[in-house]
Amino acid sequence: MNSFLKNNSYSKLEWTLMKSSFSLIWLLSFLLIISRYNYAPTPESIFKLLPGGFYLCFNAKIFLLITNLLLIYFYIIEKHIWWSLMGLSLISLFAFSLEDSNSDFNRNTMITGVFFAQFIAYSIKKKYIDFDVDKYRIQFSVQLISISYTISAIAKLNTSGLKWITDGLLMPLQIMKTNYFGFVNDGNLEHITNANHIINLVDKYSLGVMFVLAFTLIIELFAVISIINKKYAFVYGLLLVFMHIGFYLVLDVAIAGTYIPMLIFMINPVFIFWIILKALKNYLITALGSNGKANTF
Amino acid sequence: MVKQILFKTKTIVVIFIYLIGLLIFGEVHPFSEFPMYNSFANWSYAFYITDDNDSLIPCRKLNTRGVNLGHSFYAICNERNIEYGDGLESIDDLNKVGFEMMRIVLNKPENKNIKNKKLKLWRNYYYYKNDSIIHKKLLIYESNME
Repeated sequence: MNSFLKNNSYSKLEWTLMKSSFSLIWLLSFLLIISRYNYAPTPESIFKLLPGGFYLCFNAKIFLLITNLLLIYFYIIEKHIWWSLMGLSLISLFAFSLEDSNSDFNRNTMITGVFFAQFIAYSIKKKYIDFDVDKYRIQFSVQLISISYTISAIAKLNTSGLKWITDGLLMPLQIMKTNYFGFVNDGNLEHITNANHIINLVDKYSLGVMFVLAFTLIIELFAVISIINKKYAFVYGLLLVFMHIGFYLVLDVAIAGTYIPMLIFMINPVFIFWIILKALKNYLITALGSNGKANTF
Repeated sequence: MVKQILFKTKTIVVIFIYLIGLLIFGEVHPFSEFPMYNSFANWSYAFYITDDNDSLIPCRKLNTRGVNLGHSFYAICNERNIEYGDGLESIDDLNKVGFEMMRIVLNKPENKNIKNKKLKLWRNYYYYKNDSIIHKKLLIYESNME
């Protein structure tokens, strides 16, 4: 575990697992969007540029799906990767703009952004053969992810200043709103009970809430230091995980389009799981081996 | 020359491109300054839909989500330059926005066979007054399905 962090380069397996996890998340998001939306009733992003009404017919959806599957396949097997990444970036831009144009703002900017960041890395490699694309296709993704957090903190400071921390005592109104959304979705009164419970806690521990908000702001603001090296990215990734868990527990908000790309490119949980499995296998082989010897004697 | 600059700035080149993109295009996918929770205002809204007996129709049954109703409210207000928040919208504006919100929900192909005679769109308005949360509900649009 320690050796994989000490080494500031990325193995082929790490990259393959990152790509595969990311592709899976992208494919699921894509399927969800094309199964849900045909129109762009409140046009956003590229849909603002399209004149007149927009309608995504069934045949167009099938064409997009097949193209997307092919591009994902080429992306994972690392064939025609420059073209694959260009295609994936554009389809991602289209799909998430369609989602936004249905007032379904899931903040998936990082997914499109990561495809574009990797496309930039391969574009540089295409022009300059000595460019270390094995490292920078991931480092560029980390750049995109970390700057998004830092921008978010700067935007908070720009809008509210340091008052954001003390204004956090008005958070119960947001807690009430987000939990009410939950109730409205499924009619389960548990969401309202949960909201009241958290609001009581916020009122009771207001100083603690301000401390947590200050901590959140600092973590977000300095997220950009994750670009220094792989170890920084990993440690910072863990801090961001704590922050997201806090957001989920208090506000009932989990922004998958943000924390999943962060998890994949800064922590790479599937690779960690693989390291643990490998270590466990080695341990069992050693243990069984020594037992075997003992039996022989 | 280009190569030298590119190789020297490679550890921040994407950050640079993203910031330039954000400055030029603003809040346009894939550029965003992640505006949610940038401030904690002394108000919040939640929207929901009921049937003719004023019983809640869970958003799942209408193939939408509570958060989507909220987002469509803000998107429509922005599009029509309607000032919103803290209960300052006029009844007339709310009615127009409510009509658009309901249209978005009912235009979904899966919602073509809704059996209800009436659908009512409500707004919950929460704010603090003297350390207590005040809750006001308001019917903003009523859709006759017959």
